[in-house]
Amino acid sequence: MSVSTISTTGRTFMLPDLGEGLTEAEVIEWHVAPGDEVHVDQIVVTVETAKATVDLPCPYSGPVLTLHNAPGAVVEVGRPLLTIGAERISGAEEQSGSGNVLVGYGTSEAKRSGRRRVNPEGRPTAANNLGSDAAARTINAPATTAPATAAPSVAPKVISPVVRKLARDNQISLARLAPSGPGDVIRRADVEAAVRMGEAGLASQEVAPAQVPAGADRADDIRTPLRGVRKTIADKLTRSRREIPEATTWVDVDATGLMAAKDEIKAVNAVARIGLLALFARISIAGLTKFPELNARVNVEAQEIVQLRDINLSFAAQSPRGLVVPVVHDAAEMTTAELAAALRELTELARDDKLTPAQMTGGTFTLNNYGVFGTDGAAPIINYPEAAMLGVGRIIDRPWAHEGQVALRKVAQLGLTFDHRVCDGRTAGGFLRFVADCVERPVLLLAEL
Amino acid sequence: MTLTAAAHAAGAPASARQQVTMSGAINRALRDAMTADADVVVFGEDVGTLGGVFRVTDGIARDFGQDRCFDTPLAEAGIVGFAVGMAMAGFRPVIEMQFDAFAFPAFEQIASHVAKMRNRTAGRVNLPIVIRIPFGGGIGGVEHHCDSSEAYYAHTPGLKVVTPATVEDAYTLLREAINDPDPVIFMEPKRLYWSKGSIESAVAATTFESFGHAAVRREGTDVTLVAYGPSVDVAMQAASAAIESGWSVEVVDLRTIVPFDDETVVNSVRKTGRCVVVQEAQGFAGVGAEIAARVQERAFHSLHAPVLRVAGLDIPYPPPKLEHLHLPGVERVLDAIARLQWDDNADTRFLANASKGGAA
Repeated sequence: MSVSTISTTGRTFMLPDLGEGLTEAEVIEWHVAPGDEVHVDQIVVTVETAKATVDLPCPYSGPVLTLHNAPGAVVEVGRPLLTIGAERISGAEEQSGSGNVLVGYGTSEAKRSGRRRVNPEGRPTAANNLGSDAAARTINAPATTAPATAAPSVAPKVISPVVRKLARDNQISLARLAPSGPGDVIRRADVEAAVRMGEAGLASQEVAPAQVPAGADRADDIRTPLRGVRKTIADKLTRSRREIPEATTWVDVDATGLMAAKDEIKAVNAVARIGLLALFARISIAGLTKFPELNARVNVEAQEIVQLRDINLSFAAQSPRGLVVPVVHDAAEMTTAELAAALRELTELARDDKLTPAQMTGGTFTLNNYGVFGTDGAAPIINYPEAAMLGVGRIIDRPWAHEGQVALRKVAQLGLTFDHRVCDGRTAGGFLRFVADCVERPVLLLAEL
Repeated sequence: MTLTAAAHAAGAPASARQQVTMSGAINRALRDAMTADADVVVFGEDVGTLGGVFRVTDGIARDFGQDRCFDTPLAEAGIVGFAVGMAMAGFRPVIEMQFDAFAFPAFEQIASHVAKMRNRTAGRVNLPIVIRIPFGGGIGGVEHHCDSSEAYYAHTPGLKVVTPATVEDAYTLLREAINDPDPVIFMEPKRLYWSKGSIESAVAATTFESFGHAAVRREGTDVTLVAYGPSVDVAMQAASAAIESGWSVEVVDLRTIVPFDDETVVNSVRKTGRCVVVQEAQGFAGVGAEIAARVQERAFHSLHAPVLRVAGLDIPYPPPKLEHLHLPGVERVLDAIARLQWDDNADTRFLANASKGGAA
């Protein structure tokens, strides 16, 4: 290693390059004394640079012979810190390194740029190049130190990029296919056979394609079986993303008017406890009445769009086991006060994990108030098999052009995600604009009643 | 594409027009450029009194005078260096390297001065020089006289590299090259000098299409052949022969290697899903390699098979009796097309452990 020298008396640990162009460090505290036995990667000294205080692990094991600097001394990079005696470690050990790279120099020989490459699976690119899992553990560990696994040592061979894409589009794991071509090449016929098998009922493969071979992982990774509610959620989201070509449109809106309306209602009828969610529900229902194309679902098998007469309003709620989407049935028949009561009741049932299946099915449109998470916008996944979802971001004070001046207003972002098969942007935009107009001037709702 | 491929157009309408050879088209382009611009001068070895070893400058010295078209000593570095000086003084020299390999003594002038002057002077001095280089084999010539040297120039930033495959393009591209404010390496396929076509519409045109536009010479749906210069003709013949095997072949003629028309090439491959690059030059590190790389980079997910190259062998140019083995011909192009995994079986040529299964 470049930061060490080996002499007959021992090995001297030089102050390593701590990165960022720093040239020196002050010794703050020694954690070992002459005569102590140290092992590789034991923290031996704390130093302070112009940037940070850093604990330095020692790259050698053996008895400490000399501490070269007293606390308070300023040491230049490359100058001796301490000398470790005797026990000469073998070259092989030195090469293998400890993998401890916390302070940017570590004991590993490999130099990496440190830049992370983004890829769809979120795995380091090297792993993809190897086609297996080998380097997936940590970006800093040299690939050679990754444990040997039972996974294939080379990437699955595919006859062409087109067929590789075919597999990916159908969520077929190439690693699981048995190649029928010469040289173990996966052919189009292999992928097509897998697609047919998947359609014939291998539902588990559909939902959780093993894109990361199991061997890629560490033994101490946290594994949670995908079952129960999580599986239901995963299935539904996956199916939505696979089947529904969704599009999203959004608009910023001045919600000051809606907030004022809420306060006014509260002033005259506090008992009804009509909150923002109920008002958004009311507005959504009026919008769906005006744009019924969005209250629909696509039946792929029958190749038809079904426009639904009843408006069953789904809304996202949290249960102890995760996201649930209770449904207010026949929401169009309710008064705003009744809506508020229904939403409240279902929210409480969700919180107590007491929703019945009937209360969670049959939705035709979803209202998603992700603003409760303090976020402004989202590109949500449609609640399959519905055709649209209204998203409401947080409402906060923002400068806003109001009556010719910049004023602080209650501003929120509204988003509409819709199944592009049921309608085009004109309808979706019309609906979203209607909702936005009602939020800005709730009195407009009177005209739609 | 406004320029039609006259050389490959259907026989009847083309034959109705006056036919000229490619060398005649180049001669006409030189004359028209010299007439249009008194600063255009032509010089090189034997281009004056003799009219060029391929008759390309036939009669020009006689008709335009010794000041506009003249012979030089046999010193190619001097020819190019002289052109640099003349261009700096305001002329537009069109110079000839008598044969491809004869340009190599001038390579230092070309690569270090012609190509770099604009950059070196921060744009203050541009060099409107055209260096005409008869190139390629297929004429029974010997070494020094049959090289395909386009890759050297294409690899040098600052040079445009142009090569016509049709008689009409020979006229049009040379006019455009002479008009260009920067140096252009104009590579003339020797074996096409006596090919015939019409240049009437090109001569009548008042403007010329800018560089960087490839031409689809033949439309097809199954595989794209990318070629330039002398190889376009080979690709066209292969495309015709491929019909027997049921392949619909599209042929793209680059026309200008630099600037490179990615759009036309990639659009074609995205359409067909398969691509073979044909070049006469030796394959290793050639222009075809660059094309293959660009295609796979840009059209990767459209590819049903690897992008293959058909090129000259990686050998010094062979003696005349052997050149037919060296030059990529129709059969080798068809062999490459056949390897494009039509039957869902992998091409096994570079496949490790390929004994399993039945594909050839």
